[in-house]
Amino acid sequence: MKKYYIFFFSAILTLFSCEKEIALDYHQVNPLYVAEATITQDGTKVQITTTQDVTVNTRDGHYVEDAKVVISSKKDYYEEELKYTRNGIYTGALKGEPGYTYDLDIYIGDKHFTSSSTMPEAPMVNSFRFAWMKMMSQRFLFGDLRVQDTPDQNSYYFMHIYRNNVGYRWAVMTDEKNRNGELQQLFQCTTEKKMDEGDSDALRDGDNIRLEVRAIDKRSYDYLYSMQVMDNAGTNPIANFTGGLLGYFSACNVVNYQYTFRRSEIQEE
Amino acid sequence: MALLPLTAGAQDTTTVKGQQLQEVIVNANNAQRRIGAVQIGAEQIQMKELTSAPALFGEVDVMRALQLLPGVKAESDASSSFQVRGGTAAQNTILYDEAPVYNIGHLAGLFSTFNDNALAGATLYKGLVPAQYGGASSAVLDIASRTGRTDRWGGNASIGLLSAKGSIEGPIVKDKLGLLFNVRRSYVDLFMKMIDDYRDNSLYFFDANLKLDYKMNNRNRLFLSFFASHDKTALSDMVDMQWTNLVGSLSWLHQFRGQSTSQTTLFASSYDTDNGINILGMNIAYLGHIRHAGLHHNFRFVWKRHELNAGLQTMLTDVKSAEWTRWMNHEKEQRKAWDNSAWLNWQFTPSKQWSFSAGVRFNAFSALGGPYYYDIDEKGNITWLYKRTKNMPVKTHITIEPRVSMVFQPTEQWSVKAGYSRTSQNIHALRSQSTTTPFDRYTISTNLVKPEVADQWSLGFFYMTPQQDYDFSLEGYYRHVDNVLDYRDGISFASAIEIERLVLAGEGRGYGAELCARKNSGRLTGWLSYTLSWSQTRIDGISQGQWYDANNDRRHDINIVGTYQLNKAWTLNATWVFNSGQAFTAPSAKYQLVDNYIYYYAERNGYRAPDYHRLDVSATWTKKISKGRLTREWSFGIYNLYNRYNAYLIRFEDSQYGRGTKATQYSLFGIVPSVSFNLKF
Repeated sequence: MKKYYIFFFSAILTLFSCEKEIALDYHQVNPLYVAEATITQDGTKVQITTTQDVTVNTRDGHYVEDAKVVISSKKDYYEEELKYTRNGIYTGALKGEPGYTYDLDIYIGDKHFTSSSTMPEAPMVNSFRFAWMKMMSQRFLFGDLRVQDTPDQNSYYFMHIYRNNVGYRWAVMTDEKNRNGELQQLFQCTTEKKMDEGDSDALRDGDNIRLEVRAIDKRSYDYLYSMQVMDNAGTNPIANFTGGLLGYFSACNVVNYQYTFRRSEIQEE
Repeated sequence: MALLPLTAGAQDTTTVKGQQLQEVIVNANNAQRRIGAVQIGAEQIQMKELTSAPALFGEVDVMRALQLLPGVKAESDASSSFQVRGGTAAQNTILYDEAPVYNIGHLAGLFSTFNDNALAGATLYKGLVPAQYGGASSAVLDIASRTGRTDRWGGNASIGLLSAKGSIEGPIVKDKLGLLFNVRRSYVDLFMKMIDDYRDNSLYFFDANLKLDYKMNNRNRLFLSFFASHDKTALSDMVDMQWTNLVGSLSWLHQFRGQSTSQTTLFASSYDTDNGINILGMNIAYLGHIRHAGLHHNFRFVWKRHELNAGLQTMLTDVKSAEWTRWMNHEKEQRKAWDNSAWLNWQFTPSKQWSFSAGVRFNAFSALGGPYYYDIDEKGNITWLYKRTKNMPVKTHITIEPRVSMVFQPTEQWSVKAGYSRTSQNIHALRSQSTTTPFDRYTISTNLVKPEVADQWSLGFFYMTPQQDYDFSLEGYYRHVDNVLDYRDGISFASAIEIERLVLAGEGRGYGAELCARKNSGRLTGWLSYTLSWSQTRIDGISQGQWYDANNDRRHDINIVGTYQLNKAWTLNATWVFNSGQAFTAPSAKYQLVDNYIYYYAERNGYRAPDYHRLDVSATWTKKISKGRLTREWSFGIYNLYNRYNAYLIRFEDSQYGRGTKATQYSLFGIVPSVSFNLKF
C-alpha cells in the first residue's frame, strides 16, 4: 500500500518538486561473499561473488573462483560437487524434481555456508500483456501477468521480465490473495513520455522480452520478498544461508515465454 | 483543553473578567511566567505567536509555527507533525479539548488539521508533564479550542491560495450561551474539474469546529466541543484514499468558593483511514482506525500556597492496525483495550524564591479478549494462537509514573529549574519512514508489546532583563525510553497483518540542550532558538545490538523568528530555519542478484542528509473599515525566499547498464509565493 501511496503522492507533487543528484561519502566495509544459486528442471547453477564498493561499477575482481560447491539430495542420497566455469559460476548436472529437497554447501577457505530448498510443482501462466493506464495527464505502461495458482498447497512465485536478455523488472508473490484461483502481478514499466524521449529504461519496438516465472519454496520467497521491500525499509534481506553468506538458494520450477515488444500492440485500459 | 484557560482565569479573576479566553493565554504567556513557572519544559503558546509566522501557500498553520519553538523539530517539509527532544511524532499525544487526536495532517501532512480561528491556545509539555497528563513517551500538546463571544455576533471569512474558511460566533442566549463555528475547505478540486486530464480526480480537504459554551450560573459552566476533518484524494476510479478525524467532548466545569475547580469531561475520538486501489483488475483495499471513548475528571484544590490536582480517567480504546482486502484474501487485526489512570499532583510555593511540584500517575492498561492473540519465536513466526473471553483482560500493564519539578528564583530576573518525570505510552505507531503518513499502522500494548516507558531529567536557567524586554533560557535534558519498536531486518509495513511479528523492541535515549533568546517589546519582536541534540536506539537483532542513531536524529536546529510592526497597517514577518543533516540509511556496498544491484546496509541511519535551511517572509496589511465594525486584512508571503531545494527524500539507483550508483535527492518545494485575504466582522 505504502508503495502505491508514495508513487501516487509523488505524482501529485511533481507540480512543485524537483530532484537532483547529490554526492555522498560512502562508508567502506570489508567484502562479503554472495551466492545466487538455483536448481531447476534443467540443472544446477551457482554464482559466487563478493560485495563491491558502492562507487565501483565493474564486477571484475569480485568473482570467487576457488570455492567448493556441493549439492545433495537426501531422498536418494545423491551428492555432486559443482564444476567451476567462469565469472564465479559453478554448474552441476543434477536436475531438480518437484517435491525433492536439496541442500547446498559452499566452502570458501575455512568458511562453510549452507542452505536448502524444496522444489515445487511447475507454475502455470494464464496470460501476459502490456497495457496503458492513464493517471492525470500521464500514461503509464504496466506489464500485467496472470498466473493460475497450483491447487491445494501454499504457493510462492518469482517473476522476472528480461529485456534483451538483461533483467528488467522482477517481483515475488504468494497465492494468499486468491488461493487456487488466478493470481495477478503488475509491473510498472515506464511512462509514455519516457518512451517518446527514448529514455534508456523505456521499452522500444523490437525489444526481445523474456518472461520467466518460477515456482519457489517459502524460504526462497521470504528472502526475495525481503529483498523486494528493503529499498523502503533500508534494511538487508533476511538470511537464507547460514554463516553470513549473502544471497539465496532456490530449487525452482521454471517456465519461460518470449515476446517481441511492439508499442502498437499495447492494450488500452 | 477547556481546563487550561478557565483554571488560569480562576487564578487571576481580574485578568480574566470580561475578556475572551484566548486573551488569558496571551496574558499568561510573558517573560515573567517563563521565569517563574515551576514546570520546566512547558511552553504555553500564544495564538499570536502561532499565527504570525509566514505560511506555506498562505495557509496559517499553528503546527508549523509550533515547530519553530526551541526543542521542537519539524519532521520534514511535508509534515505538520513535530518531534520533541529526540522523540518521534508518534510518541507525542495531542489533546483537543481533552480528546486524543491522531494524524493531524491535511494533504498527507502538508498542513495541520487545526484551523487557527478555532483555537484559544495550547500548552506543549516537552516530556516533563504534570501528573494530569499521560499517554505519551515524548511530549503532550494540550490544545484548547476557543469559545464564541456571548455579547454580540461576529465572525470572519478568508480566502487563500489553497482553501477558504469562515467562522461565525455569537450569543445564542446573550451572556449565557455562546456559539463558535468554523469551517475550512480546500478548493483546488474545483479548478481540476475544468481541466480534462484532471476532471475525474479528487483532491480536497475540509475541517469544521463547533464550540458551545453555556454559563449555567456563576459557578457552573458547560462546554460542548466538536471537531471533524476529512481528506480525500482520488484518481478517477483507480485510487481512492481518505482519512477522517472525528472528535467530540462535553465538559462540565464547576468553580468552588475561592479558586478551586473541578472539571468532568466525556470525550470520544476516532481516526479512520480508508484506501483502495483498482488498477488493471487488481483490487486492494486497506482500512484502519483508532477510536477512544472515555471519561476524564480532574479536581483542582487551591489553598494558600498549595495547589492540588487529583483525578482519574477511564477510556476504551479500539485499534484496527489493518484490514486488508487483496483480491479474494481478507485479513484483519483489531484489538481493544481498557485504559485507566489516576493521578495526584501537588504544587507548593513555600516562598517567593522556591516552588515545587510533585505528582504521581498510576496507569493500568488492559488488552481485551475477543480477537486472537499469539506468541512468536525469535524470527517472528507465530508459535501459539489463543483466544480469551471477549472484553476480558488478556494482559494488564501497570505503570507508576512519578514526576517532580522545582524552581528556585532568587530575584525576579532569573531562576533555575529542574525536573524529572516518568511517562508511558500504550499506543504504538509503526512507520517505515522518519515522517508521519496517513498510513502508519498502530498497535496497542499486548502480551508481546510492552508499554514504552520514558524517564526524563531536565535542568534549566532562565533570565530576563529588568523591563522584560528580553529573556533568555538554557535547558538541558537526558531522556531514556524502554520498549521502543523498530522494524526487523527485511521486514516492511505490509509483510504481515500481525503487526507484532514485524518489529523488535529495544531502548532509546536522547540528550541535548536548548537555547532561546526572545525580544518581547518594541516594534521588532521575536526569538532565536538553538537546539543541540542526540537521539539513539539500541535493539537486539538490529545493527549487532549496538546503539545507532535514530532516523529522526539531527545535531543542530536553529530557528529565527521576527515580527516588525512597520506602522498601524503593516506588519512584517520573517523566519529563518536551519537544520543540520538528518540521519538516514544509505548503502555501504552492493552486489548483484537477479540481474539487479542490491545494496548492503552496514548500519542503520549512519549517513547524514544535506543541511536544510530556508527563509520565509510575509507582510500583512490590516485596516479597520465601516467605523471599526469590519477589519480587512491582506497577507502576502513567500515561502523559501531564496528558492533552496532541501532534501525530502534520498533514493539510490543503479542500472544494469553500468552507469553506477546514483544518490538522488527529491525536494518538495522551491520558492512558493502566496496571498490571502481576510475579513473580520
